[in-house]
Amino acid sequence: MIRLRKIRKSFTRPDGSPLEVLAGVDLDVAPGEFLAVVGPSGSGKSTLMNILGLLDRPDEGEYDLAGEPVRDLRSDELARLRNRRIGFVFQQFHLLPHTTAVENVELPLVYSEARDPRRRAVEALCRVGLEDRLDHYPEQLSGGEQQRVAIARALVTDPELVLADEPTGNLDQDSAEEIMKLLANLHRGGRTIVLITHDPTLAARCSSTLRIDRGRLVREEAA
Amino acid sequence: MNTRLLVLGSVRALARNKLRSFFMSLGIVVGVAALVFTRSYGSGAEQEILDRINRMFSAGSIMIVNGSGVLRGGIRTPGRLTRKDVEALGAELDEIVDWSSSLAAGGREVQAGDRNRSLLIVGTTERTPIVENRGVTEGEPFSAADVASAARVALLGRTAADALFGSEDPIGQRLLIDGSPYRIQGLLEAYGVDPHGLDRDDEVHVPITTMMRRLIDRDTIGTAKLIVADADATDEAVDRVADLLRRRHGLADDQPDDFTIFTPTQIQERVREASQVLTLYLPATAAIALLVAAIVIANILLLAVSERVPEIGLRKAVGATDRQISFQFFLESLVVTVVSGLAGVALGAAALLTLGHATGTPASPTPDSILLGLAAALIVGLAAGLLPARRAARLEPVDALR
Ligand SMILES: Nc1ncnc2c1ncn2[C@@H]1O[C@H](COP(=O)(O)OP(=O)(O)OP(=O)(O)O)[C@@H](O)[C@H]1O
Ligand SMILES: [Mg+2]
Repeated sequence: MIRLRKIRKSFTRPDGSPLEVLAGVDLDVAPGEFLAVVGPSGSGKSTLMNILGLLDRPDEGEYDLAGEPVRDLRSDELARLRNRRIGFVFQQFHLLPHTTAVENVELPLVYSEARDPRRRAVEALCRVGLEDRLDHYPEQLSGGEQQRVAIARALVTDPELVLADEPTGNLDQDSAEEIMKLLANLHRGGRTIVLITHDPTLAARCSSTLRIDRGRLVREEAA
Repeated sequence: MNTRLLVLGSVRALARNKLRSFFMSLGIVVGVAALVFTRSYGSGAEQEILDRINRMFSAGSIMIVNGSGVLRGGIRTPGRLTRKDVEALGAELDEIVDWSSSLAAGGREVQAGDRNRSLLIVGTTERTPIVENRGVTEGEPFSAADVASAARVALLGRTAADALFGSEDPIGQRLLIDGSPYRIQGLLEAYGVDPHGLDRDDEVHVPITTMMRRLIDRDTIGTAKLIVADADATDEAVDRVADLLRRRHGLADDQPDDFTIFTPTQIQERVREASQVLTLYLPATAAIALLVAAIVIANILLLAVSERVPEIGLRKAVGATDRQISFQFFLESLVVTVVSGLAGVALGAAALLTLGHATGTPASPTPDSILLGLAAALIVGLAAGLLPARRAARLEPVDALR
């Protein structure tokens, strides 16, 4: 599903000196894998996810997504790939304010050719257990419910790959548990999932765990 | 892309920010309304003046005014134009098929029974009904014999007739002009107010010979009107008329004309020039209002772009291309301007109809003013959306989501 070779990414520090965040990352994710990425704050987890999600380009290195090299794709081709193959779940939910749950879930379908977007959005919300919250605004939903709307939005296009960047970071224990169950369900349904987390107990529930260490990925052996 | 959903989303975004949308639309509504109003009103007024001139002075006619400098409004030198000159023009120039002379004098005391009134007196000929396109509605026009014999006969305009005779039939009645009796033999066709603002129904006509011999003792005339066989050849005819008149008046090459010739085309050009204030400059001020509106909209949208950076980032993350993002912002700009443009047309039309109702002169929006208004709104929408759309499209998804 994912193949990274020698991915490098640097930023410029405020004083102008370079900050190397990813220093030659190699990664292979098989289809259907449920992978956890862990690492201390500032180690480059989100940077890696942005590259995996085609939201950012690496400075160097090869990236094949579902067998297709993406390095030379134009930005509209990347947008199309994001739309069709990838679902995102963010720590801050990123729902559109003043927009109902069902309209939020519909959003990716605005940019696809899918027919019957409303029906598909409603179905996705049913799958995350929010069938009675269709017309609620994000402001009227709890954090856990908002993240479930975001998950519904991630799966409404039926993507092969779901990228979740600390999806439970802003949630209490019970809500976090719900979200983990939904992700585990998606995994059982055959999707490839990359979960970025701080929480070792959550990482332990994934099929494998990788740690970012000084700009490189190291496989953690199951404890 | 699902365009219907995107349009719906834009409309919802605008509906959500009612105050902002209101400020965006205000300038367009006012600007387009002003454009429709001034443009329609201006061309309506221009058309009315042209219609009047056309009736008085149709294509293919030439007007000669005695004296020079008439049109330039400068010092008017007295001329030497006579009826003989006009007869000679008619006889010697093949392209002149009809002609008539006239001479007017204002403010003469006219008496009928115990009523009197100060009237414009116009000396005309038996050719006047054809050449000036103004005959009689009742009674008889002047005959060639009336003109030849300087008969004491008169034709009365409607307003003058009402003032002097009330409900009585004036035909056959006696009229005293400067104390001498005249027989009224006809009522002049209604004419209305001329471009100078004169009520041309408040006048009395007598044969031009009567005027010259009995009323003011003069052997020159005021104006002459010639009809040209081929209206398209009016300009050539004008040259020949001027040549012949100069020869008859014995003018040397270095002497200026002692008469002034003008044609309907010249008059219409002057009217158009004069009414550019109405048809061009007023609408141009409306265009400035629209320019300001465009700047306001562009600014509000730019503000909206910076407010909506996370939204743009999210839309890109879920698959929006740069093009689709800029399309969305264009769309919002266009929805505002087109809806406001329609409202502006409605407002301008309502103002015109109200004005028409109040003044009694029907006024309505012209199709070209409506098209112009809507086109202006569309252009404003596109122009105002340009910069915000570009800025939104250029945002990098990572930067926008942080
Ligand atoms: N656009 C940027 N410009 C400059 N520095 C950046 C930029 N993005 C990230 N960084 C820096 O790169 C490093 C890695 O950031 P990243 O967000 O990937 O960390 P992270 O592992 O996700 O941390 P956290 O667990 O706190 O979310 C950090 O030091 C951060 O300050
Ligand atoms: Mg992070």
